[in-house]
Amino acid sequence: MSGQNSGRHGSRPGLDEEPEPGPLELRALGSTRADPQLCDFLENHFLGYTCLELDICLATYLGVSHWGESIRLRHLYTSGPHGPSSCFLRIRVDGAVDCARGQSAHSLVEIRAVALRKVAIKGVHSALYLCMEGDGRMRGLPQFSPEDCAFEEEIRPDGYNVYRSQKHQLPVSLSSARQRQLFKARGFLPLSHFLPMLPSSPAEPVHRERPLEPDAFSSPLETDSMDPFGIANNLRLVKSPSFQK
Amino acid sequence: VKPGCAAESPGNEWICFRTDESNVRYRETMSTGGLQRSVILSTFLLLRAVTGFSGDGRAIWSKSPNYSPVNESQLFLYDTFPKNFFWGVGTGAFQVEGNWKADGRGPSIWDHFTQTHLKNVSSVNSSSDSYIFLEKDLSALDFIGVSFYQFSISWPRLFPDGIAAVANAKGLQYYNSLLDALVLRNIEPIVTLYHWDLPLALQEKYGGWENEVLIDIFNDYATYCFQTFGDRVKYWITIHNPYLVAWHGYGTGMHAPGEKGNLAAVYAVGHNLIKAHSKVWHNYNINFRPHQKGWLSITLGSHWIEPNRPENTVDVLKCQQSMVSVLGWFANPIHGDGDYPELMKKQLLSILPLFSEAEKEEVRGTADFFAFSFGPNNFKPQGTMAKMGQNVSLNLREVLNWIKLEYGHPRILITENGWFTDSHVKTEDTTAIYIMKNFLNQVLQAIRFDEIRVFGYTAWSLLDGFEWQDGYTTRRGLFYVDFNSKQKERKPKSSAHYYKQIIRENGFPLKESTSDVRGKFPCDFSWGVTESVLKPELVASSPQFTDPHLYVWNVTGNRLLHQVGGVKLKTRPGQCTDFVSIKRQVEMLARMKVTYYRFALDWPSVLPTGNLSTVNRQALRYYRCVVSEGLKLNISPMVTLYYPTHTQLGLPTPLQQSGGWLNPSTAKAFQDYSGLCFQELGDLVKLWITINEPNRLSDIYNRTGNDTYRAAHNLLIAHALAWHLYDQQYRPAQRGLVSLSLHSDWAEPANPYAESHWQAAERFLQFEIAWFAEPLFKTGDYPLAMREYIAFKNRQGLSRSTLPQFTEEERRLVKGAADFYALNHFTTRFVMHSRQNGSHYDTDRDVQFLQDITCLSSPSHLAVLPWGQRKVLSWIRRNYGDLDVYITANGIDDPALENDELRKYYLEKYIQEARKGGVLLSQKLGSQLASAVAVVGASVAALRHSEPSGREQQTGGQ
Repeated sequence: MSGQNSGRHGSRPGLDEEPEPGPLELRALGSTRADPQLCDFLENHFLGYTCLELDICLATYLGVSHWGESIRLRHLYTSGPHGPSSCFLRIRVDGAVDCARGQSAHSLVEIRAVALRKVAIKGVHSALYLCMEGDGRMRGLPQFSPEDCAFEEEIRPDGYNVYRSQKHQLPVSLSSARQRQLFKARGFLPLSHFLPMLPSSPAEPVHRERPLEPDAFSSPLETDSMDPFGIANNLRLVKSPSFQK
Repeated sequence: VKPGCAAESPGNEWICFRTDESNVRYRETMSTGGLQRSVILSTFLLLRAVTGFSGDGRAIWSKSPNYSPVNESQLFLYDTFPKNFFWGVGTGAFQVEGNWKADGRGPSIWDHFTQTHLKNVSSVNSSSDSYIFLEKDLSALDFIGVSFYQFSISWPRLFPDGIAAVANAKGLQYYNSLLDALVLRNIEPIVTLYHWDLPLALQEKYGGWENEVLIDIFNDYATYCFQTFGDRVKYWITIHNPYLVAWHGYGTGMHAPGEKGNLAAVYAVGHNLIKAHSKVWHNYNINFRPHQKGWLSITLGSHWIEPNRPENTVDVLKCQQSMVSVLGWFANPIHGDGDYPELMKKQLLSILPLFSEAEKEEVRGTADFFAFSFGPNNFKPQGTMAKMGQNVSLNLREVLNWIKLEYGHPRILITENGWFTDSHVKTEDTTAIYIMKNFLNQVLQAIRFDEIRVFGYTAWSLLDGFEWQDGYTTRRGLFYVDFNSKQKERKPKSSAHYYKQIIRENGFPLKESTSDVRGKFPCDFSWGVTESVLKPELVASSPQFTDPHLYVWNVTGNRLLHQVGGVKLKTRPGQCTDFVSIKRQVEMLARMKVTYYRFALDWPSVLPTGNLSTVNRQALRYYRCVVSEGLKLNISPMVTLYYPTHTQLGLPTPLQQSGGWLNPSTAKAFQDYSGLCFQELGDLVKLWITINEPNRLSDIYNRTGNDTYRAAHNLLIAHALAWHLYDQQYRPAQRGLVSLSLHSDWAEPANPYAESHWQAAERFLQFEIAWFAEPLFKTGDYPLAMREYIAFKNRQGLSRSTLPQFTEEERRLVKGAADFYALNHFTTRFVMHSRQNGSHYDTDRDVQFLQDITCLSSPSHLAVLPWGQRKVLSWIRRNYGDLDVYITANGIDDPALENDELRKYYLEKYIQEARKGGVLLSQKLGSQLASAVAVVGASVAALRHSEPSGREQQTGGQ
């Protein structure tokens, strides 16, 4: 959770990047950090806390708001190209990004909202940001750059997430350079659909029945969207149960 | 699977941030000192809360969940609303009137706020101008056919400085004309006194609603309205959604007056709004009700929320807390015991103002009905919502149930409901239709199944207009208004047409008789099950009859068999019983009492090299056994020669390596292979399917559109070659029939009011089905519609695809090369037009799909819409004439291991529909359908676990 104490300044870069700055600055009021005025008020009111901590504590205290939802600790699971060989996104200390076979402290990432529908992903162990290089290669970098390290989080109808780089027009993927070359034309990259899984604390084993088999309508409600249920999502593939065995 | 709303699904859990114990515990190990303090604080509060008061509404989340996917009370309800149900539409004065400065109107806090805080709103004056175009609003109301119109009076238009002294004559005249016109049209007015446009003077002079002098000032204004309009108004709403006024006006600063983070002010404003309402109610009750005989309430708005884990009491408590802190804040004093909810008082301590005993008595029961608002303003933006780490939901039915339990079964008027579209959407608001359908059906379910006393519904809104913090970036009207135009014409959107239809029919009555057809299918109607590729057993399971050696036992006392050298015995010839798997399979078929068994041969097993140089006789012997053993039990085979799937292309390796279906020689190889099969099995097999779902190979050969079309071309030729071979060489002796199975799902326009959607649906069928069916059953060429559309895309520069040309010889080969129409039908898709760029089969047809959430569907999103089957059958007949029709696969994915309720429900309904289709078709087709095979697409393996559905087919087949 390092980086949290940077307080309200931690999320500034992303905000400057917001593509559609809404009709007013209030749009971004999902978080106190986005609003210095509100932040100051809260910091003065609850002396000794930084604003980010206040997000969480105030929310709980009031029971009326939940500003603190912008940070999630998750393991990003993606299934291998050949069946369900498990693969968790790992950002190594040396900056390499690859597959870990199982969940561990090394595959734990912090997903933080930096703008509307945009997130930064940071390895908890390596403290490196997940960033994309020119050819779509993933790297862990110590310095956050809004262009290379912020991704649009898009929830697919099957419950998996895709993290798309606006600059490179490519999704975050663990595929090799050769695979990327091969699949460029098809518009689909292998190892680019991620299931964010809750970290299991040692005291509480994971609920087995859930994350691996996403339910039909498991995509969460998009209440900021005109299509909150995602009914008109761009599903183009016609599936037949007898063909899709 | 459960219809209704997505947020119900437990799958949300891992997407949302949770603050349950596991997370808290986790944080404790990770966090720094400062954070720990907040954790301790939150844990402390949680403990306090657990021991707190619990409202009755909690029962909603705790009730035993019924997971049946086909529970009638959860499925879309075809029924009507109660007689005299109140249908209406609403607007807010500040959103639609425009002309903020015209005719002596005073400024409101929103005029001010828009100028200071909403800089992007170009011109506040560009609205729908209801103040000027009263007649246009009335025509719009006439169009929909509403029974009431809910509008609000602009306080500063009547009293520019807010003080009810002398009314502004022009403003007064406007509301009088509006009311008179409504009375004339027999449209009941429902009038809101305060929809957020507080006269600015009151804000500047007194500090607005923070100051309790506003209570009396508001009461004076209300008194004037009762006196002046009360003869024509029977339904009054004092305040629209006071939660948003207090929370966004003083907490987040998103609404006027734009104060931020002032918690004391938030709750003081809420307190004054409640007292103002209560004072006005008493005023009306004592001074006006006796002669005006009307009703009065306050519109309360809310979101809805569902626990991450319904079985977890802490999660359930958080949901209750979330509801109580928004809806309960106002509803508990007014509709409950006169005081704030216990949960709120415990949390907010001294921040929350106190009601004295006398005040509680005064506030309690000051509403003649429960006026409820459920719309996007209570859900936006996400970050300001009281989510408590639980899952936000749009389940209107559940929140109505919560109100019923919390506030003693009140009569409910839904005074605002609907969603929004982005501003670029003009009259074709397809998503809005489905959201309305979903909401309204939930209301109907609440009335019919849960006995909730909802007596009216307000679709929000009549017109596009100013959408508060969103300015003009979103639209909520049933009527589209071009804000830049002079005349501000009101153009009905698809949702206006849809709402009009619902009002006319008073709900969702069944359009046609879908009552179950009693009776039986014709005696010679055949029932069957289908299996995909059957991998041949290449070694007989028992060596007993194939080993030629002689053995002696226990020669040396070691109790072992000893082979006698040099001796070879004659073995018994192979028998079908040697293959133990066949016995099991056939027994299962016999138990289901089917008369047809459809399975596919494995081409690579029969011809490993792809040509006739190497024939695996053992594989052919195995298949022959499957057929002959089945025939012994009167189970006829329907054999598919080639059955590719997503994961198994199913071609012999050498053919696959030489380009597969992109190589024309594969068609010739297929002809050789089918000839071999006809020769070896044709004496027993009378129904042949050459290729299963060749149209789905578009998913495999998808590098470019041209690849897809080329592969399809070769598949068509391959089929036609096989058919001709059979027709010429084998049919005279074997007298069987040959065709291919096309994946034939139905397509319905997503938006029936949009011409482009009708065209897209038909185009989809042309690209999906006619692509193969037209050459075979009709012209010997690809459908003209498909050729023309691709050419059109070429001209637009959106695609470089081209369809192959048939040579004259190919045309003769293909045309008529099928003995019946075989279809695999599974579902119906809702299709809309969507212009796409790219030289791919998928993009060439310019369609996009829509998932109707009100419709039952399978885990893989296949909708259960039985009528689609009948529609596709009549489409086929319309296009290709009176053909014999065989349904070669039909079914649904149901992950249930034991009790596959979804599949049972599906089969029951679809078989009913096939029957009805039969009744319809029999007039035109004679008895042809009678010979059809309904082969149900459930694999044998799945059926093994599902005795009940097996029985169902059995009774159908008697």
